[in-house]
Amino acid sequence: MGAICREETTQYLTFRLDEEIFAIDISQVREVLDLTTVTRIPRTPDFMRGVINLRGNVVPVVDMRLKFGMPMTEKTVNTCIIIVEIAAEGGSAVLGALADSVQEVIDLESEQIESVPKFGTALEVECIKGMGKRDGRFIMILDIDRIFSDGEIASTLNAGGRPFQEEMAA
Amino acid sequence: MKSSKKEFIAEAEELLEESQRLVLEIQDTLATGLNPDTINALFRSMHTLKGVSGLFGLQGITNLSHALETLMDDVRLGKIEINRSVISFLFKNIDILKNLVDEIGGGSETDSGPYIKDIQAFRESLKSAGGDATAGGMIDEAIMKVLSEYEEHRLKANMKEGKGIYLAKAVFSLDVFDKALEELTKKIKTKGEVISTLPTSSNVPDGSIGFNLMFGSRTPPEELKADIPYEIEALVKSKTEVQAAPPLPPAQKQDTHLKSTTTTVRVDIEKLDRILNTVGELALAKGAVKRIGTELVDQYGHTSLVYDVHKITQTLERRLAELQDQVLEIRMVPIGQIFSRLAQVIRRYSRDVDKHIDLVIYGEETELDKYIAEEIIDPLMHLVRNSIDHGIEPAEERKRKGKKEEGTVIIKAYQKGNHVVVELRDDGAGINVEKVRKKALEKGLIDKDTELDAGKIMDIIFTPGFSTKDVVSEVSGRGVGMDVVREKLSAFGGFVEVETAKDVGTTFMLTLPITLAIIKALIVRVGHERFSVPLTSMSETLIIDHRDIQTIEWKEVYYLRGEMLPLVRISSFLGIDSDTAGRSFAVVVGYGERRVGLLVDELFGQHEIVIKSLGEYFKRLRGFAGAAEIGKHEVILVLDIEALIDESMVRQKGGTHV
Repeated sequence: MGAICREETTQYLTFRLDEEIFAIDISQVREVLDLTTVTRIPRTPDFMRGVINLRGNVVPVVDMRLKFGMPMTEKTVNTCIIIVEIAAEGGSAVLGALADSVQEVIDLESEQIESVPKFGTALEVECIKGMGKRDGRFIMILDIDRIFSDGEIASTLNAGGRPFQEEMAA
Repeated sequence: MKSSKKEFIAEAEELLEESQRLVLEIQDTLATGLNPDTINALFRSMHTLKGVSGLFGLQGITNLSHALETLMDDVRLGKIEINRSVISFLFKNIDILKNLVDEIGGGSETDSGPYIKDIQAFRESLKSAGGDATAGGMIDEAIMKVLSEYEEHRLKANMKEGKGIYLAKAVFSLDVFDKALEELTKKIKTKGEVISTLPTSSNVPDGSIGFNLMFGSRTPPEELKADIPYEIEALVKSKTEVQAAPPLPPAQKQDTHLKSTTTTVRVDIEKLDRILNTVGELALAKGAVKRIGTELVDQYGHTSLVYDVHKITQTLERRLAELQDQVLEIRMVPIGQIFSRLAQVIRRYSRDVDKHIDLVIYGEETELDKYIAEEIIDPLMHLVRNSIDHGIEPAEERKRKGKKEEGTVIIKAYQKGNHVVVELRDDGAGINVEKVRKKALEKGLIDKDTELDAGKIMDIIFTPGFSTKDVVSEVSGRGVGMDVVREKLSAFGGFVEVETAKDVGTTFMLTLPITLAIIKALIVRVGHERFSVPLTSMSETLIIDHRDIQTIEWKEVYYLRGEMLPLVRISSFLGIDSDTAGRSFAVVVGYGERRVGLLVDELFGQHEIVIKSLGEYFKRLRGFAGAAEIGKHEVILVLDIEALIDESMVRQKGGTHV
């Protein structure tokens, strides 16, 4: 995997999925929305919760809990959608990520970030940039570009969603 | 690329487009009489192109347009007579210019030197020895001396045509003379052609200016004198004074051209999309204001302030609707814009394959969304080329069949409800059904005894990968097949039909939505989910009792007025649960062979929707044309009807289809 930390960015938005705390680079966060109606798209994998209308644009919403092998996100008053901008083929793409609650914005020095242990997590190691330590707790810093990369979504779309063209060809 | 350069490209493209149109006009009026204004306009656009390309230091384009300008100068001075070879030469060189413009930004630049030599040689070969008939002695030497070369040529040309030559003498006050002169010129142009406008100072009081306008006209002098309130002197008598000439259109025409360049603004269509989005947002904000208004009534009753809020909300609502209509209107362009480009290709292409084509165009003024207009030009081009390649027979064959030697291609556009229909008709041999059958059998698309009606033929020729060189051809180098035509159209809810008859010809009918932006859709429910079906793709809805559904070879069908209607369960299609009630609703979509009934649980009525793309993430997912917002922040998926029909066809054919 690449660099463990990036010197230039030290601000992270933290959020909770189940009991665990995660963080993403604040520069990739566009805004945080209250949970609204998400329209499901048939024949897409479960973690793809559907789409919302964000000021005239259709934005896909991903359930990060399902993505990381946790039970599906339940709607609570704290549930929110973090709108992130990720690097995609030929530019950037906007995506919503469901989180149980958004915590705070924190500063992390590079020495506060450790490399990822190769065990004890449900997530694939590639999706984690590093482990931040704060108040004696570990915070997993996510590499959302990787989690939501075109290829990643596309491949799961194909595996779980079976677009019918391919089904027919078989 | 720098934006200034981009602007140049846009301007150059526009100029060349215009030039092409002018050459076409020249070609069309060759037999009936050329309009000198057209030739002048072409001369001017070459001149302008020379000027702007010079500013950008694009030497190749500057030199080439200069050479063409010189050629056009010779034409307008009558040194070169316009004929077919001149016209194709002009077409060719405009294309070369277009290529040069395309190259900008690409780094490489073609040397235009050889082309320029070509033009020079061409000019020399054409220049007739003498000028036109002399005006010898008939016109006062003093006047002849002040005429420019061009004016002299026009004078001679007018005399040659037997028009009378007159001099209108007018004196205007200095502060209003420009307007007055313009008016007088306009007036004269309705009677004939203004050859020269000569200012004069003799016999003119101070603070005024005099003009002598020399013009040629067929109108009898008495009538001229009655219509034009100035002193008119006849210099040369008209040879056809007896017959009143019809008023000539040129004057007016030129005015409109001048106007269009000064009052139009070029806008990127994306900017209009953004405005439309903002309008959508405003509509939502308005909804909120309206809601607040209602709440105010509940809380404070009908006070005058509450009433004011109510009133202003209504105004807001109306104005917003207007705004939306206006933005949509801006996006509309006359389809003639693409027809003229098409006409150009047809004329050149028919020359290339050596077939005489009589091209007839109707309904150029029909308007449709700019985006759609641009999207259909390639499919249209493809169909047209097919008609010329395979529809229209060679001249000898046509003669043998007792047809006119010239083939006819008719392109017709008209509005039909919420659609624009573009018809492409040729009077060629028609699609060779036997060849289609043979090929389709080879490919396993049909059985031996399948009957080939128009619908079936269409299905076959539009199948991906189906191409018999004898029936339909790929556009050389483009890799566009007939299937792409259908795909392109269905991408925005359009469809194509074909009618063909042996030795009578083939007609393709393209049905397109007028605008993409806002469409009416039927909202349906399947299980817990709601979807929308564009009204443009459906013909009717039915209530179907499940006991009436029959099964034929594992396919569910329903007999609708005696005809078999294949059914598609949206629920099983999309893998969602549906109601288990004893009846369903069927939405009938598609036409002819491609007609199917989509089974849904409930119908909710119509809604105006704005289709939004689902974006990159779902680009591989078929079955949905996009998403739309209805009501409060609710997103609803729009079914891609063409894709659903395609899929149902594939399923029904059960694997014979590759």
